[in-house]
Amino acid sequence: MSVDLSQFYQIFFEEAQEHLDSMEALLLDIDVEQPDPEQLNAIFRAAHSIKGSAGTFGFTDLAEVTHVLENLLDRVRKGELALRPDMIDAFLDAGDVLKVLLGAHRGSGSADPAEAKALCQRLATLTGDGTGGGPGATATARNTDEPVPALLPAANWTDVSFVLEQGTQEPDAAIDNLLAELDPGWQASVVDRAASPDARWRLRVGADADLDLLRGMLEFLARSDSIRVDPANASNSGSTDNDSFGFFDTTPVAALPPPDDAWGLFEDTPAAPPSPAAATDDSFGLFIDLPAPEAPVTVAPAPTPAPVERRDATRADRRATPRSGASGETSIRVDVDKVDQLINLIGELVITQAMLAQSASDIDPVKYASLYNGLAQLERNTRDMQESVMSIRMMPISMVFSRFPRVVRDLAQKLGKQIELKTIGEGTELDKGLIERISDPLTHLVRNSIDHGVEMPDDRIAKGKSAVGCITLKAYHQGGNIVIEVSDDGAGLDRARILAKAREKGIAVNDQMSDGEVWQLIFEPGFSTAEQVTEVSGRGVGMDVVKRNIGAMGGRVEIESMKGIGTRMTVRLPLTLAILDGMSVAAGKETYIIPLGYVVESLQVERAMIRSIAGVERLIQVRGEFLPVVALYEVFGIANTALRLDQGIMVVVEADGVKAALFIDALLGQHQVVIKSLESNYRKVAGISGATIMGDGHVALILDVAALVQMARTALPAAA
Amino acid sequence: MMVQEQAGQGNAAGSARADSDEYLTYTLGAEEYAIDILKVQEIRGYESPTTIANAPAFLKGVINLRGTIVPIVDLRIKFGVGNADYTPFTVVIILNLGARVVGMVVDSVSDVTMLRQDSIRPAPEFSASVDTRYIRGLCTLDDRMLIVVDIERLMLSSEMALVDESLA
Repeated sequence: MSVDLSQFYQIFFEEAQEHLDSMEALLLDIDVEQPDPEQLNAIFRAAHSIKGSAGTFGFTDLAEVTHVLENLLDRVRKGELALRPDMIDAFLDAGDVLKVLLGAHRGSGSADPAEAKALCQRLATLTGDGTGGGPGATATARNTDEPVPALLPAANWTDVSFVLEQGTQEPDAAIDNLLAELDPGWQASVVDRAASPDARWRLRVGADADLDLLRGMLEFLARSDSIRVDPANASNSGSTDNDSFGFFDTTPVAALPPPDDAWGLFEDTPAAPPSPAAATDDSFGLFIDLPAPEAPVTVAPAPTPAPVERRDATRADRRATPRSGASGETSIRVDVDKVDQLINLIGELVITQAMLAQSASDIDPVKYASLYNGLAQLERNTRDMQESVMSIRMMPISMVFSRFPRVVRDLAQKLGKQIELKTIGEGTELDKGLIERISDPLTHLVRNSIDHGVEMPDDRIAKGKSAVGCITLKAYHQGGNIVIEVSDDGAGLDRARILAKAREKGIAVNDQMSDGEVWQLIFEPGFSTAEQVTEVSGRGVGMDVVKRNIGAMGGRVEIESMKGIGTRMTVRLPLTLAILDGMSVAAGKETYIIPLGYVVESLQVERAMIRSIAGVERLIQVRGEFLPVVALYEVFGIANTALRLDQGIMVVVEADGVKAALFIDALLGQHQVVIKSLESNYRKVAGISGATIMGDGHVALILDVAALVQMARTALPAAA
Repeated sequence: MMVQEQAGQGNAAGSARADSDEYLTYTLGAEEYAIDILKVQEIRGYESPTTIANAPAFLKGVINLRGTIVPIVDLRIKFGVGNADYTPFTVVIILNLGARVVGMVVDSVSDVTMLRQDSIRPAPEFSASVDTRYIRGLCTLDDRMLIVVDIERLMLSSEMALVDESLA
């Protein structure tokens, strides 16, 4: 094929990944005893789509594995074979092998061809030996009339016509290649070979063909606006213009809204669709009533159960053809850089707007009433715009949660435990950047709960619990944070053992520590109370990393646990990495931002609260606690106005469980600030984590509270 | 007053371009310097920057350049020439050095001149306020002496401390 396909590789990879993910989700969801034919079909379609596009792009190894996979799936969904748990395992493994192969093509990691071969063997065996086992009773009955993608009951083959892309060399060879890639079951053949480059080709496919897929494949060869698909019986075969197709445009949608996805295929003929009223009057009116009652059966691949919805939407993306009549989800793929650029621009717009508002506060509001109105409107619009742009980056946490059914299943199987996973609040949205970064720490927490939390079935029964343990993942918004909880109904943490282990490690502990403090010990590096090191956990690497990673995102982890009842780990994260709630404070002539997440309280100290060590005032006593004082003017070497500790304000901050008091001159206010990097044009500055732009256009620096607290612990500069 | 990066490329025709480049000249005290104009992003007035703690004196701080945080260095302090005072006529040259944007305070910007490459003579070893490593050469123009500076090398050097040590 002369068309350069490599430019589409990225799209293929992304799509194949999505298909694999949805396949895995469906496989985990499926009920082995009574498989839902819709789910089987959806799995089949996912495998089929991967095979189709892999073949088109020449990734033969992918295509081979999917081919074998598809054969087995096909027999299962047709009811020739009963679904068995070992098949699910094989399917899941196939998914893994495909992911590895995909990764290898993407350039990350390498694939072992032997593994793929072994898997093919295994799938083939499953395909072959099952015939004697008899068809699964439930699957058969409902499945036979399933995938008939023809439009009308009468049409048992479909004509597809198109004009090849300009400059396609050796068109005959290209088409032959295409036909070779197609599923033999489609019975594809060439009806008309085009004589000239601009003439139409016509292919004929059987009733089993997946027209959606075919169209997708054709788009790499043909001019996308030239592809026409029509069931041969419904139109005279020579027609290439619109009148006979106009009917297919929107009338069925108007007449029959629910299964519109199937009709999407027909909607992009360029002709203006006739209005439903007009259509009923013309000679094709006959057909309008026909599809409606038949639709649930004949429109097969489309009536989508909820889990597949997203996948279909992405398939629409690939076609990138206008789906004017179709309702429902549509989306476009956009480079993240473009979104980030947009967010930056909006950030600047917000600042500009604030500057305008500030300068306008000096002018006469009566004289310039219209200017004032305009500015007020600008403010509203800017705020709305900022919200909608920020929401572009927001994604549902189901992106992360969706991987856990597999993790739980595999791990539970390996450990011989029975575990049920519940997820609540999958629709909760958070920033894409956070989604990517929260995934690993969360996996670790879940694995930890499975390994250490949930007991073996026997133990559970002995304790009077159900043999099946339960792990709950829950996400929700609280204030400006997103909260993710990982809870289990397992054994709970063992206070005595953690304390003993801590002593062994040489960590300073005492028996009076609160439970909360004791639980935090498990985040110490190298801390593991697992009695034996398993493959999963117990090597003591991990929990400290989890805490550090979450801390790096501006979040924190809390643990609640009750012996015998269970453990709940709560992760709190800011909604986005780009914006932070901050308190602006003054030190000398400078303004600094303290991230609000670290602030415990702020107070004015009295002389009596100040304690000196070696003649230097460096501690304050707040409600019995002694806090080291970090004077910002000293750390940053600036001239301050409040020289004595009782003249200014103390902001008590807490980072990594350590408290300190920041001594500043005054509190200025509370803002949402857009975080800007100081390092992109300058360098890292000790005690500063970034910069932001204030309403007046000036730069304010954001304090790195953790580093400042550290400074208080180690080398305190001698106070004046 | 903005100088586009590509300034003058269109009107300087043919053969004249072959062996000569355009330079922006500026003054520090009594000395006149020239830098490659393609490194200049824009020229703007001085606005008071936000100071950075524990930074060297010549680093005046950072400013908000349309949403980007840009450090400002005062070359007069760095090289100890002229008086580091800030008047409405004090000028900041914003340099675009590959991935980085840096602003430098100078006394004034003179003009944009074409300098033939062979008219730039190597600088003799002398002790100048600017380390000779960063001087590409000297050039005489109408009785004036221009010091041609390799501004990118200077600004990204460890001496200026604008870049993290690990990267410099």
